Amino acid sequence: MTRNAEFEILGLSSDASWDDVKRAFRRLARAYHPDVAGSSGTRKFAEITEAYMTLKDAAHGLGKIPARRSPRAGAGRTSGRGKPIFEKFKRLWRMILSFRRKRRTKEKHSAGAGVSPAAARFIDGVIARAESEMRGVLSRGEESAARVKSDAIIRRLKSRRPAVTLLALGRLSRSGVSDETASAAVEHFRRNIPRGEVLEALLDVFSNSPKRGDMIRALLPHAAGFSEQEAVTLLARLKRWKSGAEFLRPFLSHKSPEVISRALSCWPEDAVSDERSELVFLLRKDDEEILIPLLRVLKREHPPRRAGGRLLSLMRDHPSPAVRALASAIVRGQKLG
Amino acid sequence: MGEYVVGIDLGTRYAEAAVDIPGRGVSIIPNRWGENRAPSMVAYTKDGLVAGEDAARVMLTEPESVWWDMKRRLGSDWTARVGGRSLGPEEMLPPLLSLLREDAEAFLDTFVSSCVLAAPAHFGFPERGALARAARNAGFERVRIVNEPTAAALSAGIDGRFLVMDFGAGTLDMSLVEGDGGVFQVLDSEGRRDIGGLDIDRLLAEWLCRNAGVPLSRPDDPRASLMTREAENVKIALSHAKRVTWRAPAGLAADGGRSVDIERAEFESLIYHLMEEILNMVVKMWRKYEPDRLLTVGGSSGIPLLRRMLAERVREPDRVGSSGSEYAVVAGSALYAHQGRERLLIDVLSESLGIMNADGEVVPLLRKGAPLPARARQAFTASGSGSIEVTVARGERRVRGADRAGRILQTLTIDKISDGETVEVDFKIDGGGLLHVEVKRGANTSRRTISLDFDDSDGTPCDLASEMRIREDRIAKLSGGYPGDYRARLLNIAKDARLLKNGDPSLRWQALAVLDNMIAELERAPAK
Repeated sequence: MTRNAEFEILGLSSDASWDDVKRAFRRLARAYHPDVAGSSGTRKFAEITEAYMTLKDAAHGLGKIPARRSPRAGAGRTSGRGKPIFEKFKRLWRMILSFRRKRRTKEKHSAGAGVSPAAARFIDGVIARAESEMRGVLSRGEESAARVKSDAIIRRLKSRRPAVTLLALGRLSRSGVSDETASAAVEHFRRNIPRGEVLEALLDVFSNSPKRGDMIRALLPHAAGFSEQEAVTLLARLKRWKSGAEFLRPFLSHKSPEVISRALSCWPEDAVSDERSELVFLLRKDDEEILIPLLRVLKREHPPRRAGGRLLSLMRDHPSPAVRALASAIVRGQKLG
Repeated sequence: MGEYVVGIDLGTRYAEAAVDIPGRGVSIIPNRWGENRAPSMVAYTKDGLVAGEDAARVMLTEPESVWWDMKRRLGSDWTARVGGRSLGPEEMLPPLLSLLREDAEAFLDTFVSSCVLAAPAHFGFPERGALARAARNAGFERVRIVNEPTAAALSAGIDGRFLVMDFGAGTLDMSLVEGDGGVFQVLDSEGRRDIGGLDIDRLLAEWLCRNAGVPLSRPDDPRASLMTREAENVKIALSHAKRVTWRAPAGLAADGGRSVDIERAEFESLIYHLMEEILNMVVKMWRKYEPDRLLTVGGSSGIPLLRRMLAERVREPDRVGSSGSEYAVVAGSALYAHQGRERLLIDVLSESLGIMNADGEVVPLLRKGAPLPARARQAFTASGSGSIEVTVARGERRVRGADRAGRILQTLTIDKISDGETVEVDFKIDGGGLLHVEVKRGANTSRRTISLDFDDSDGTPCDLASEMRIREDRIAKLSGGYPGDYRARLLNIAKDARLLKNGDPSLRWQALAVLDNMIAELERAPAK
């Protein structure tokens, strides 16, 4: 190849100066750099950088004759180096040839020419094998794309920054919760207490998930650590989902009477009797807002005899008439007095 | 579809992130503490690894479980003992990078999975690969790397020939850039990893200890890093004041030590030889290229002595950008995400890459100064059978005993080679500044590929497309003799492979292998 070829690639005449070369290189890069033109520019960009580098060597006096085949290279170079123009013609020629061949085969087919049965069997086999292999790769591809997606969500779910966890929950509420994501979330929130908005979003996301129970169970150990508002939010959900007493019990030891009251007011009718001792324990409280729902539950529950003393004293001495009335109803109904 | 790409400047001392929002320009992303930058620190606490301000707080109580200055250790075998495990920089940096990612996600209100990371210009491919892996461990799926001084040049966005000097806490980097109507071409880059603001801090810390009667701690003592931070504050104060009074904080000196005054002149005589060394580098580059302007970025470039020396012996330095030179690199990285729209940066290969033969001669495949991205292939024909070694080396000089470790990037052994077999080595530096080396052997179609990546990502969607095209052409040709419906099915199989856009990159190569097998079978087709 002659140096003229390199000038030609850059669209210059052979008397161009080094500054012209640089300018031309940049102008062409603006059009063919892979960041501008995408993959379609790769080949052309390689060509212009090659020409640029050769001319740069020449301009800086380092240039051996550009038309070199590296003597050190054992076998011929296979890169684009040194054969762009020829390559272009070759490609063009190949295209023409294949076009002509295509036309010919088309004519042949339209004339009704087919393939021999043996060739048909052969090609069927090749296609079937390749199709099934490709299907395998594609389905692995789908799996892996899904995994990348769910990994991204799980990673953000576990963020220490609530805003990021919320983003992940937002994604989940749109896309649905896969089993894998659900178990990861359950594991994470078992150890990290979700707060405020995160808790609400989490409950929204899991409200229709088959893993809802697992999630609630993971949250229960945090029950005492939730703020009043958080606990109330959670209890409202539990009420709507008609959750059993086992889900409500942890809230009975919450420091806020409001929370205890709410837990009691959604106490299920069919709660088993071994919850009773905890309920009786709560009778020691004096807050009206706890006692009223508590006594309502106890009325259904057949309180044990040892509760009798406290019920009697509530019946006689509690300042709230409603508490007194409920207590006395129980005492009379159960004949505890 | 406009997915956000954040630019990240992971400095030795501070980490920053920025994003270029079309129509709004570059915004620096505020972090969870409301600051524009977070300390580049990672600490081990009972909650696991924490980073940024949280780690800086641990510094006050348990300095021995805080690590910083990890970026400069990328690519080395440095490890930290963390909770009974040894973690290298690739595992220690992700908490910090995750922090930046999460702050960006909170700021942009969406997931962010792409970033442009700025790296010192002198970083070699192993270091860049390690940095990219760290980013991937932090949840970034697509990572590009840009050189720090060139990023600064991109954010300056001026025409003409200029020298950018980036003098940060840990590194000194210089790039010579020519701006020409939105195209920024790097002509040369040079950097030193052994000169940085930290060295100044250490010199000053030593002086302060000596004069204030504070016992000097050994470098691996956590108190030493506390002392360096003290010195950093004194250094910064001395850029604005002529004299600073310093007193050792409790914990450094048993009896509190005595307070000590330091004059700017005293400080300047302390660092003069360092500045002289830097200046020599600048002058050399300046004489070689005779640029029009000198731009400085990085915290340490604000040192009055350095600016004075530059003004006297080189040129009055300009600071980059209106947002302050501290943010020039991160802003440039954010701009690089939209590379090719308004601004196009063409970086160059800073060292030659080639294959070393048995005598230590390096056959360069990619030459220093080559515009990036670049690719080169070299085919060898085996003479004799057995196993051969392919050694990838950097530089052009002959590799001699002493510099082997620094020069050899990787050695790959190819077993069971037969006489006359062709082995092709394919070097590719992608648009993200990462090197991929592949060794292919055998015939063109059913070749086996051994990848020698310094980066396990694929970053190769462009390439895949061209590989696909080659096979599609071949299939189109081979299917010529078959009736139309056969041909359509054959070509459909080839087109299916293009569906593999996301997910595990190795699957794309599996898809190519399926096509290669098919082509090989078609080539053996019986007569029709």
